[in-house]
Parts: sequence; C-alpha cells; structure tokens
Amino acid sequence: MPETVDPQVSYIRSDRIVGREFMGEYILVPLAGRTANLTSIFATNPVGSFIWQLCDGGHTGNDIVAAMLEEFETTQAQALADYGIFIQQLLSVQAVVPVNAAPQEPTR
Amino acid sequence: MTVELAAGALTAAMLQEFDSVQLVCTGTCMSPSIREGDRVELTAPHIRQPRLGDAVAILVGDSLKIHRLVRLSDTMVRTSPDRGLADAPIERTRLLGVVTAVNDRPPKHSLTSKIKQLRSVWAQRLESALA
Repeated sequence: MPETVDPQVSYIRSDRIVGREFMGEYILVPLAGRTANLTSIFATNPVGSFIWQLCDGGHTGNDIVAAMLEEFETTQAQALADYGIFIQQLLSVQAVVPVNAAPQEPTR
Repeated sequence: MTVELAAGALTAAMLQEFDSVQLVCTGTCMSPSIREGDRVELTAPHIRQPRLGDAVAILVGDSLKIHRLVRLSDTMVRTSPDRGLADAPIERTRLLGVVTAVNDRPPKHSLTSKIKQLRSVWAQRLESALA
C-alpha cells in the first residue's frame, strides 16, 4: 500500500465527478456545475468501480479491502495494493476526498 | 466535424441528465467557426432552444456530428457543414444539443455560415408564404 493512502481513512466521492454505467463500462465523468466534461472521462475496471462505489464516506480502506476479498479472488496484499493505487489515482484528479483521519495515538 | 473521445450515445445520455457537456472536435468542415481540436460546449435543447444558424450536434448512426442548423420544424431538422453540402433531413429528436461555447467563448459565425443562415431563413419564409 502506498504510504499516502491510510487504510483507516474513509474517502467520499467528490461532487465534481460522477460515476455512470454506460454500455457495460463504468466511467467517471468530471463535472463543472451542470456541465459534464467528456474531454477527460475515466474508464474503470470492475475492481475500480467496486472501490468507487464504496467510497461513500462510511467505509474505511480496511472495510473496502475486506469487501474486495469477498467479491474478488485476490489476496489481502494484492487487494491492499490495488486499493492504494486506485485511491491515489482518484485523489490525483480530486475525485475523492478524505472524510476522517484515523485517530492518532496521544503523544506523551 | 466529429467528436473525439466521446461516443454519440454517451453524449446523448449525458445531455439527458445534465444541462451541457464539453467535448473536443475533429475535422475541418465547420472551420473557421469550429476548428479541429476545439473544445465545444453543447447545451441540451430543452435548456437552449435551437435557432437557425446555430451550430448543433446531431446523432448520425453512432457518431455525433456538429453542423449548422439550416432548417427547423417541429419534427424535422436539416443541417449543413459550413464547408460542404447540406445533410439529409433528420428527425428533430436526433438533434442532441446546441453549441453554446467554443473554447469557453461564445461561438462565432463565419461569412459562409451567415450566408447559409440567411438563405435558409428566406427559404422558410418563402415556403410559409406559399403554403
């Protein structure tokens, strides 16, 4: 898992991008107000769309990885890696935002 | 003028849900009003009523064309590229949107498009007078 993606953090989908199933593909479409920007749409694979749909602010990375293990034939390490890479990609286009940082251990 | 990156069906679906879409054009048939690589904003016809002389997006088969609107009735439309012969009439439901911006600016009309627009307006007036 890349260092920048903390599995204890929940992410929520930005209102700047919508996901839509279209002709068997799941695509992410950037929005500017009521305008859909089709010049830079993102196509996701089934794993990506699965993660995207669970980025509702209520699931942490750990929850999503656990769900991935139930949904796909994969290993914990691979699911963690896939989750981290995809969240980083979503963060890079501001498609998701973190909603809660994991509580830090109090410093003494 | 055809659309790159976005299929006509996707544009149609997005314009049913959102007020407008942005996309990139290819081709030279609407030059100089719309050039290859220009980013155009299409606004849904229920938001911006199409008018003669507008550049509009029409669905032809699976592809999206942006041509000039030269005839308009309740059920049919006819379009023409600024460079080339007019298209065959099509059902108005295939008119997906009106070009309301080119590279974030209001669209310009070329002299050719103005002449086509005038010609189509006069043709419609003549038809109404004869009817």
